[in-house]
Amino acid sequence: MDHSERSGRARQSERILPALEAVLFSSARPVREKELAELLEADPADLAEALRNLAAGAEAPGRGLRLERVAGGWRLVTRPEFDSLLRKFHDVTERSRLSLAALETLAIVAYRQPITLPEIQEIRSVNSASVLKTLFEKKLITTAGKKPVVGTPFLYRTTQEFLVRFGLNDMTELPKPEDLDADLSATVEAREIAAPTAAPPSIHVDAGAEREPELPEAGE
Amino acid sequence: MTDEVPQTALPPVSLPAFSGPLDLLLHLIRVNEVSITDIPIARITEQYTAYLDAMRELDLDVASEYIVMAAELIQIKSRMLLPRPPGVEEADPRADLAQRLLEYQRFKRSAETLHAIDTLRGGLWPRPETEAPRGEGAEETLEVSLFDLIETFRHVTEEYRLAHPPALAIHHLRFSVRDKMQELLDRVEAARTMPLLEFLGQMRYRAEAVTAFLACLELIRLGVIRVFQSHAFAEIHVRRTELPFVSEQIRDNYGD
Repeated sequence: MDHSERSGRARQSERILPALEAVLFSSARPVREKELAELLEADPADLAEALRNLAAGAEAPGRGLRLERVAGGWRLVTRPEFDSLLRKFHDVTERSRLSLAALETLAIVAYRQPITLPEIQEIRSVNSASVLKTLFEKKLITTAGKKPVVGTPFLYRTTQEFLVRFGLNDMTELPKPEDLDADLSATVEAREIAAPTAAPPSIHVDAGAEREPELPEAGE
Repeated sequence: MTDEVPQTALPPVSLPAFSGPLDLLLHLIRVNEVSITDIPIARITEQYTAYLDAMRELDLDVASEYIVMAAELIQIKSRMLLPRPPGVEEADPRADLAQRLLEYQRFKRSAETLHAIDTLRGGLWPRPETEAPRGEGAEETLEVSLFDLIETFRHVTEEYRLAHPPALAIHHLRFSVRDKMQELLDRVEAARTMPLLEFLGQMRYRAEAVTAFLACLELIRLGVIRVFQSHAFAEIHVRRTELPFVSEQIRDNYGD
């Protein structure tokens, strides 16, 4: 890449950046790069450069927004430190939470998809039909055909909404179960790790009471 | 804190919410500081059932799955008590349960990770879903699932049903003075004297009783029956008079 090509790219990126910002500002859903490139009639490389610059600008101190790459696209969200301010402004005290049972079921679907309800219940040893319905209504899971076994039960898989909610660009970014597995056999160690957070079974109890003030650079 | 429960102690009074029997088991394994693959089954079973008892004492509904697990634990316990033939290698009766616990624990840990991510990301506000202003006639494409369609169909049929209620047939209860006159006459001729209130009390509807009373008054006016009572507020009795009267006269003179 010679000097003129680089400056050409910079020029192009500078040209499309305001339009890019306008499009992303107006969109509630993440927008794919391909769609952005077509819309802005931009070279994919120029667009990538513009996205980088936009992200860098948003990440700079003194800004209220950040650009995030999620579910295969890009979108603008507010910075985490303004959560309490925004909740005050929009008069939101409680946000809808997923119960422990719902999160367990969701995790099983995420790692074992496509999976049927009986298979989920086998793992959880608990009736999971209503929990599955909740996840379905929240559009975090959807059906993926039927399993060709007796009774042809529905198969379930996670959705785009799941990726967006958990800040994943695609399913490969889902934390590997093996990463969480390291201390599986040694339960005493596991207990020690779990101990500082007190009783883990009551994980849902802290709903919104205490939240971390600063978001580590997750999902990027 | 629950972690300090002595090994033989009963469970603490406060019951954390468990998402299922495996969750409760994992909790017991943790507070007892034992290994999933080497569960002291007698001790854990005792504590597990004590938990269920505590839940019942607090009038909490113990879901059937918890009871199924209790039965399974007791079964494993009894299998472990059975003497094994010497020299015969037998699978550990706890192996299957340990396997399930390990697998469940993996997902439980994933769930905790998801919870942490969800809590952090809950503080990020995206632009809320709003509809872009569109001109008239602009069609919007929607992403819908089969279930959305079914739900919509159900909604539409329900709306239709509410908007088009089935023709409701109201059976008008009609009583005629003529019928009641006949009825009263028949009764009084059969019994000679009859308590009026008893007759009226046999009417099932208010309108029927009113009609019967009107019929009574009409027969009195015609002089066919006479009413009398022994003293004030006593029962009123009806008696047939000597006046000749036949049913045809009623039918001819009193229309519906």
